[in-house]
Order: sequence, then structure tokens, then C-alpha cells
Amino acid sequence: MASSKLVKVIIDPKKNWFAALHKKTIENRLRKYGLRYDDLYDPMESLDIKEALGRLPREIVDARNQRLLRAMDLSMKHEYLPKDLQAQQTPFRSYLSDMLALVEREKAERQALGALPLQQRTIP
Amino acid sequence: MHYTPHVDLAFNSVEQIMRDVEGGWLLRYMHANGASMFLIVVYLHLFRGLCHASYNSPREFIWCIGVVILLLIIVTAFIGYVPPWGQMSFWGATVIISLASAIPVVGDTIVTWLWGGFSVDYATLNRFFSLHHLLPFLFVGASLLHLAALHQYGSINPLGYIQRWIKLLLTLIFYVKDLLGWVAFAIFSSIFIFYAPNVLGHPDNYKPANPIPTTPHIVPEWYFLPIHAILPSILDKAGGVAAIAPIFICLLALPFFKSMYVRNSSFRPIHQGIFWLLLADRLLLGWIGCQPVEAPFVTIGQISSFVFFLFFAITPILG
Repeated sequence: MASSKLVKVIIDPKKNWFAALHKKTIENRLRKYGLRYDDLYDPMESLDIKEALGRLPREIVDARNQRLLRAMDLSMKHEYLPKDLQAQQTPFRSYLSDMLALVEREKAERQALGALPLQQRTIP
Repeated sequence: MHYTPHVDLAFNSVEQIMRDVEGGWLLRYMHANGASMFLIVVYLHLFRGLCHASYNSPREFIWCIGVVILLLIIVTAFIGYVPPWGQMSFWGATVIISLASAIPVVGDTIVTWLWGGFSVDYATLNRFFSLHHLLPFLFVGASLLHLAALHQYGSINPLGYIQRWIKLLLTLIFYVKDLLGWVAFAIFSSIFIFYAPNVLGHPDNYKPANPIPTTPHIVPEWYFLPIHAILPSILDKAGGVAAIAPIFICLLALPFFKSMYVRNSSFRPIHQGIFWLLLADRLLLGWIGCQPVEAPFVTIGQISSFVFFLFFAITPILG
């Protein structure tokens, strides 16, 4: 579809200078706290994220939790990571996105077949 | 009790409290300025929630209860402005309640029902005084529900991420941190109470209510000005009244817009920019709300109102 191609051009950092600037801004902010973009995904917000995290190897989840602990400690103290450590960060190295996409595909397939979802949120 | 909710006695009873009752002036100023301080805190809390997207899943219920609390506070504050029975009390009640006449078919009946008669009079004063006393108890119940809902999933933080295994002690850490805020805010409030107790009010409310001469410039208290500014933005009376409801509908609907997995505006620069634009727009609307309804204020108000609703239209797109 022409509209989806247009959207891809708009949001692709390699094709659009504004998208590249946007990505750079987020990258700088993530570096300051020593986080990766996938670390921002909250398992309490979506059960899909919780399921995807549950399928990842333990050492990856442990590394994620350690990064989060460090970032929350820095945030609490209103500090940032030292510059030398910031230079070593890899904010956009993904570890969760592929698994999350798989979980979402499975959920869509389950829904299309008329089956109940694996997990349902309690309300409220 | 020294206040008398009667049209012939209310204004003078307030003056008697101010002048003759021991500490009456302090209580009156604390109450009047306390309302403003309360709403400053409420607005800070609301905008903090908008900034950090605290309304996102799984905290929808907390947010919706919060909007209900906001509505209760707004109603309580509005009806609480009537008991002093000054010119602004009388004419503010007349103008705002008569907006309900814009409702087709039953509008006039609703206005008569709310007034308790064909104009703001003894019945209105009496019932507003009673409701002003009753509604805060409903607000306390809603607040307890708000806190209970909060304890289900816990508080958000500036990073926008929650981990149940990271907990900070309320008593040690947040008590001390909040104590600093409480003391600073107490000093801020005290400046208004002791040095400038009438600066947030309107001098016309020191004239006894008189149904014959209309106050030339009827304005609500400062905390209602942004909402009040949206009213004349739509030139049709019914349209202006109808534009008020979407403010709260948009707030209630926010948690249910499809959102990105990344919540916090710290890592969403576009959302962050739009948030600050919304804040500036609210301040501009507040200024417009106390200006006369004429050019260029009407045009500025229309643009500001459009920008305000644009925030809620854009948020689902940005996620």
C-alpha cells in the first residue's frame, strides 16, 4: 500500500533526517542511564511482554534487570552514567523485539482460530 | 457556627467571622487560599500524570478515579464560591448554571431545578452550602479508592518502568523527601495567607450580592479560567457548553487509546515536546479566560482550544 510505504519512509532513520535526529535523541537519553530500548518494555503493561520475557534465556533477563536497577538508582539520585561507560552502551541492540513479535503473531493466530488467549488481565 | 446561609445574613456573617471571631480571619483566609493551593497541587499531579503517561495500562482505573475526583473537586470549588454571597458569587452562579439552558428540551427545567427557583436565591445558597459540606466526604471516599487502586500495581517512576522487586521504603525515603516538599509548599501557602490573602480572589466579591446591577466582568476563580476560556471559543452558546464535556471525556479516554509499549516521555521526545506545548496552551487559556470576550482574545482562545484538543487527537497517533 502506498500509505504504508510512505509511513515507512517517514519513520526510517536512513531515509528521513528527522527520524534520524529522533533516533539519535533517544539514543543519547538511553546512554545516559545505560539502558537499551527493549529495557523500556514493561511486563506489567502488556502480558505479551511478560510472555516474551519468560521465553528469553535467564542470563539475558538477568542482564536486563541489572541494567534497570542501575538506571533506577541513577534516576533516583538524579545522576547519569560516567562518560566512559556511556560510550560502551548499545542502546539499540535488540534482545526482546523478535520474541515479542513472535508472541504477538501467535496471539493473532490464536485469536483468528477462535481460541481463548493464553493469559487475560484481571480488571482493574 | 458563625456562618449563616441566608441571603440577608450570609455576607455580613462572613464579615463578622473576619472581624469579630477569634482567629476567624485566619480560618477564612486559610480556607479561601487553601482551595487555590489544593488546586495547584491537583493540577501539578494531573500534569505529572500526563507527562509520565501514568494513565497507561495497567493503571487505567487509577486514572479514571482521578478524573472523577477532579470533577468532584471542581463542583465542590464552584459551589463553595457561592456561600460568601458577594457579587461574583451571585453572578458566577447565575451565569454558569444558566449554561445548562443550552441543553435542548430540558435545559430550562434543569436550570430551575439547580437554582431551586427562577433565579439564584435563598434555595440556591442553602443547598450549595449543604452540598459544599457533603461533597468533600464523597471526595475522601474516592481518594481512598484511588489509593487502593494505586496499591494494586504500585507507583510509576520517571523512567516509566516498574519492577515489583525494586521497592523503596515509604517511611524513610519518601517521608523525608516529601517533608521537604511539604515545608516548601507550606511556606508558599503562608505567603498567600498572611501577606497576599486576596490576590487570588476577585475584589467584586467584597460587594454584597445584588441581583439588579450585573457585574461588568464576570470571571470564575483562576483554577476554572482554562475551562472558562473554551466556552466563548465556540460562538454558539450550545456549542460552547458542549465543548466542556469533551475535556473530561478526553481525559477519561486517554488510558484506552492504543499506546506504544514505551510509556514515559523521557524516551519519547516528540510526546515530551507536545506535552510542554499543552502546558503552555493551558496557561494561555487561563489568561484568555480572564479577558473580555472580544477580538483578539476570542481568536487566540479559539486557536488555544483547538491546540488543547489536538493533544488528545495526536496522542493515539504518537502512541
